Amino acid sequence: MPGSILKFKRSLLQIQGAIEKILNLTVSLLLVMMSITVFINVIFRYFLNQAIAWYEEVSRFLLIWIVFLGAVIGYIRKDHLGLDVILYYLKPRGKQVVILIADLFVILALVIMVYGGFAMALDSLASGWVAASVPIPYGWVYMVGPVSALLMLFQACLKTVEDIVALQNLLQGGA
Amino acid sequence: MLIVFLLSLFGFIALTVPIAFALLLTALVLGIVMNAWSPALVIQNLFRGIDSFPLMAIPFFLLAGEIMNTGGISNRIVSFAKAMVGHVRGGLGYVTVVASMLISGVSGSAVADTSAIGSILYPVMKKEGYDPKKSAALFAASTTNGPIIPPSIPMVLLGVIGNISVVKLFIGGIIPGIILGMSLMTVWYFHVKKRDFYKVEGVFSFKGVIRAAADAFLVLLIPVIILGGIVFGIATPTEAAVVSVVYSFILAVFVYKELKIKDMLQVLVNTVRGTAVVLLVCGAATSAAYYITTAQIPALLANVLLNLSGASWMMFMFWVNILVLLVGCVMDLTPALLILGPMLLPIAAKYGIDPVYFGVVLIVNLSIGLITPPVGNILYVACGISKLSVAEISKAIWPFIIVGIVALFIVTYIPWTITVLPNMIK
Repeated sequence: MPGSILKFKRSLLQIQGAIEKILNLTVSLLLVMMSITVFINVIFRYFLNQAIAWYEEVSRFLLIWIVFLGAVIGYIRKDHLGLDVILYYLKPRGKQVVILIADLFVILALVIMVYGGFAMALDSLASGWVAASVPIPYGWVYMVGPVSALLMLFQACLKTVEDIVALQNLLQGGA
Repeated sequence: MLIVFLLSLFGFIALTVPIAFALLLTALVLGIVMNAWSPALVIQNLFRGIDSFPLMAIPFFLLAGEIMNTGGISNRIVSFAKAMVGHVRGGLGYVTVVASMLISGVSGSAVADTSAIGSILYPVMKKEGYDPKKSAALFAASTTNGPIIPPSIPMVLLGVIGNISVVKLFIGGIIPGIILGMSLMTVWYFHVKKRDFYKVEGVFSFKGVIRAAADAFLVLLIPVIILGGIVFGIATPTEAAVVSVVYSFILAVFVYKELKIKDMLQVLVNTVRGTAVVLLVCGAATSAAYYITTAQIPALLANVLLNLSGASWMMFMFWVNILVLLVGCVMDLTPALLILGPMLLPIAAKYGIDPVYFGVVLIVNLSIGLITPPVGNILYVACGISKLSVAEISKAIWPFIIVGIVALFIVTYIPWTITVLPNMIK
């Protein structure tokens, strides 16, 4: 591989590493915030006989952010549940082809998530729909969906390029 | 339409597309076929499947489990189980089963239980000369109790998606969990009986039990807090879960001092990863369910099942169990539950079957699926811990699978075992 491509690849991997680090810290913080919010409400309700009005909405928003940002980390770390037993029964070339087809379908699903997500979030922003107990517009809560999908799309494209190269190598090696 | 649905869902899954994405793509296919395709609607339903306060119990139960494993809480449960049943021939086997049942009552995640129990007990069993394959199979099989004995993450999911009381599902799992535990111990008993090298290990001492119980007292309070809190209606499962997070955090950091604050980042990230994987599938399943329902697929499936089983609920449950066992062999508990639950529950309602009973049967069934090859989350974790291959453990695990299935049919055909406890609460 020419030097410039290698360099480009290295910088892409650096970006990926940085994204993961930022995400790790962010989700950890969000999870701590969610735990504290719900726990404080328990304390208020049972010991001080007072409910906090905003706790339910805020904790639900935090959960949404945790799930979508966590999904990006999960995608980088290949956590997502899938059925890959079939790969063990395939020859290397067939295996690589199946992996590549799956990559393309994942990209399709992610494009839908990006497109549908932005459509929905922008719609929600335009309608000015705001949470009941806190001045947070729903559109900004939903924005995490398409943004996470975009981050996963970046990963998915990287993976696809790698898988294409791997298939190419296999085909050349076999010829 | 049923064919289109099955072909696209299982087609995408067979192509190794992760299940969450496969579900979204199935929604795409169904939407296009029905000429009702809208990406914004798909994403809206995806959010709807995640945006729920009761579902928050899942990250909290996972977090509590992570803290317990890192913070020396699991160790104390094992010591307590050892003091109770560790003194008989092949005692560590019974310790494995009992400790798994106890830890299931503390944590909500089967896989966390497997790695806790396995990584503590398996090395000891191997050192003491226990059959390694049998021991690995045993600890894998024992932790299938995780989703059955409350608290349980799959029960939270099913309760939310199927609109069933999570509390009743929790309580309904207690007796089936005990039956499963006893069945597994029976298999172990016969395994030990045939082999002379299992020796009696130590003597039972009442004092020892008291000492271990005192040491584990603060840990054993966790199931009391969780179950007591939700059974008496003091707390919702989510609130009970967050209390168990704070409680185990205090225990691990300030009392046992085994959890270092610098380990916390890893604990938190692991929890988020586990949560995201489960809830993304949950959201995607909700999204697909919209199109599945619009396409009348549950009704079509109902016809197939009605033709097979006629008017008898017993035959219906028989075919449901067979179907779910087959699906459980190739699919993980969470996606299988999220896909099958919403489709089967309305059919069960037509037979007048109690949704709590039905839900618990589904979960017992799919929990056995966690150890059935080729796909089983617990099986994979057990392989990782024991360094044995899936094939090696599979060979040793079949007697446990068979008694598991027997236990499944016992609770299926004696519904009392499931319903007696939930019926006692309001």
